[in-house]
Amino acid sequence: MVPAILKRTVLLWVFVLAACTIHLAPSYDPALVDGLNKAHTETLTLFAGLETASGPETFPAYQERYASVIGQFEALRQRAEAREIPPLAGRLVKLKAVEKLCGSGADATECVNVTPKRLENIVAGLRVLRDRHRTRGLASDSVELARDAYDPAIHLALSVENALKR
Amino acid sequence: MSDDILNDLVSALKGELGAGYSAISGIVENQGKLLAKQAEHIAKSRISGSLRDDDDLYHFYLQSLQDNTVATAKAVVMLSALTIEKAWNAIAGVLWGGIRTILGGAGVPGNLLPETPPIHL
Repeated sequence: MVPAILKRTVLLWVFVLAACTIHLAPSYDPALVDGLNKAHTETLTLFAGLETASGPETFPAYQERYASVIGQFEALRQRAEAREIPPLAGRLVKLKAVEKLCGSGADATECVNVTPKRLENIVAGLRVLRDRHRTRGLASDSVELARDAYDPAIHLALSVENALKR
Repeated sequence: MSDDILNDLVSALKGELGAGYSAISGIVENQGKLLAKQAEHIAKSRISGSLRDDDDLYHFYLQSLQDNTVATAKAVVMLSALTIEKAWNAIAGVLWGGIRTILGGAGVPGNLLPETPPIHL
């Protein structure tokens, strides 16, 4: 025989659970995803062009294109960083178990908003490639190394952003 | 009635957890391949490519490899949270649907019972 008070407590909790939806990750941002796809296409086109470039004398032909992709990714990073993180998600990363993996402060925020840091790394990689091209020219494996650093970052950003579409 | 709700709950939970696991494993597998490729090319270039005489760039790409690896782990945390969110909301949706049916049957006017759970945390 289950006591009446227990029954009522369980029913109350079922009602409370049923009445609450939760939000543990940022909302889907179609403009961000479109921007990422556009910047990604432009960057792949730049990489394809650079495969035949070599000395620093070839840099001026690419200067505008470097500036364009760096500017786009930087704007997208700012957009992704400025979006609202659900309060419950902010509390989730402060849990001890999660903190071990996510760290604290800005590092922890990356666990509920992965994209800004990925875009920061993409911008840093493109800047390094641009500066090397301008000052020393590109070696035979420069573009491949730059793409190897770029690919995981853009794929992760695109996968995570698309997953946010509920 | 309670059997129907229970079946709907299990089915909603299975659907969301299955889709979440599938998405996470797909992303991790893809990232694993890309990171392995990056590591291989850095090693090759350090031995016989442009990184052989370029310590700064070598350390930059090593750091990039580390960042990409840590970011993959953090993305798994984020996508797991998203899966928990979807599973919870699916359960809440089914339970709320059951409550609406019961309260509606008891004579509570439909306009007092929103179609979706009314509280968003």
